[in-house]
Amino acid sequence: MSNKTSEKQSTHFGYTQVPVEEKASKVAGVFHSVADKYDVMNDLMSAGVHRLWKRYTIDKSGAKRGDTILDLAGGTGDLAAKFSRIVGSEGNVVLSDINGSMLENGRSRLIDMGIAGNVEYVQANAECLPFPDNHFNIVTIAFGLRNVTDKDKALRSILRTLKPGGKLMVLEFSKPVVPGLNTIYDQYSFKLLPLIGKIVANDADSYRYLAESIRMHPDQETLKGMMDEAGFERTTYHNMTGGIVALHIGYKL
Amino acid sequence: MQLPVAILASIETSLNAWLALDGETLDKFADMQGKVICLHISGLELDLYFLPDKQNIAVMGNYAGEPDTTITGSPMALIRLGVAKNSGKTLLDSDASIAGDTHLGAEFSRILSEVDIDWEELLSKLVGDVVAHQAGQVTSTGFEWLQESLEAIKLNTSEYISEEVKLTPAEAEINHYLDQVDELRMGVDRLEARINHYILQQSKKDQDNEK
Repeated sequence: MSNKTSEKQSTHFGYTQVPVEEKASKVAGVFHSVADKYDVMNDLMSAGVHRLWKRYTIDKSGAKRGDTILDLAGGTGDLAAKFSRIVGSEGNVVLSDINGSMLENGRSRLIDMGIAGNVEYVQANAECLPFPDNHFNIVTIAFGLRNVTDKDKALRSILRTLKPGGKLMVLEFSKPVVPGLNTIYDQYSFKLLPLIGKIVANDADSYRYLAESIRMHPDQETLKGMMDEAGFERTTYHNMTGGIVALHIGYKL
Repeated sequence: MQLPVAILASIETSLNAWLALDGETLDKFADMQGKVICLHISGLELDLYFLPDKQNIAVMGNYAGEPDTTITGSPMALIRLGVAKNSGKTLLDSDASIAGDTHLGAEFSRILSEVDIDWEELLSKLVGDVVAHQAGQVTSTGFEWLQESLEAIKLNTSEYISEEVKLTPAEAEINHYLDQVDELRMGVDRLEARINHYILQQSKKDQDNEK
């Protein structure tokens, strides 16, 4: 493994450049800050549409009774809650997040919903997953990959933990493909979004970072290429809401 | 055919709001936790998957595994099953069928057809418990009387109209008629397919002749 720290490499944190080793702690700062209001903000920011994006992901997952599923960057546990019901008592869902505050919120939320028994909680970095090889039927990462410092490394790490025939699903903001949508979306992201963040969570900066990080995230084709490069097969993507969000799917064969 | 996720979400929300109105219904689903019930609507070739537990019912358009039970029927047959007072009898009468765990399928449709909405409770969400309770007290006596009278009038009238003067058909005749409508619809579908097939063959022949 190369020692990136000594080379003083930098990476993006929103629109600013930061040393590679600082990105994780800066992202952690953002999510510690927004954790308590994350659900409300998601609903406000997407007018509730994020529920449909997640529902579509579940629908396309092919999850079934007895499956072992890893929900990476699982945050407040939206996907894990649904998967828990589908896999039933014979299956197992691991809700994982690098951020302790988000994971704690997710855990409390799921327990409050009466979901227990087949869900485990693991605080882990997607770049070096602490799970055995060939372990999961499905790995999902919803609105999380863009916050990972070394995405290629994370994709390789996910591939290792997937069973042969297993499926990775990346739900992430992407590049609008509908003409004219970009302008409206820009206005919304950089003017309205920080304002909503300030009013609801009293934290405009964190929400400005979220908007910027979305713009810095690879577009549909680039992410598909990264998945191919990491070793995923039959990679496809599906645009939702005019490409504001895309669901990438790849298999380990 | 698969429904868009927005429609699936709206079905799930409405169904759960409706079940939540009847405080006891969801408890009846407790034994079905972990089960997958498929509703196959023939004709439309539409599958809906229900995953009940004692808190709510999740509705999905896709399930990669084998459901525990599959209730199959035409839209008409399923509507009749949903509103029937005696779902077992209706199931035998209609062309709806249950495959897999038949007890589970029958129980699921029975619970759904028995949902009884508590209007006082619904009103209380809007105007607060006290006002609703008083409004409920005032109206429930009058409402019960009115409901009983209406039910009696309805029954007498419907019996008179269907049995005595035979102006309208009896329930069995309606069921028979609905079955015939389903049959006719399927017949038309088959005829359409046959005509399309014929047109395709004819156009191929014409093309061959031109060559």
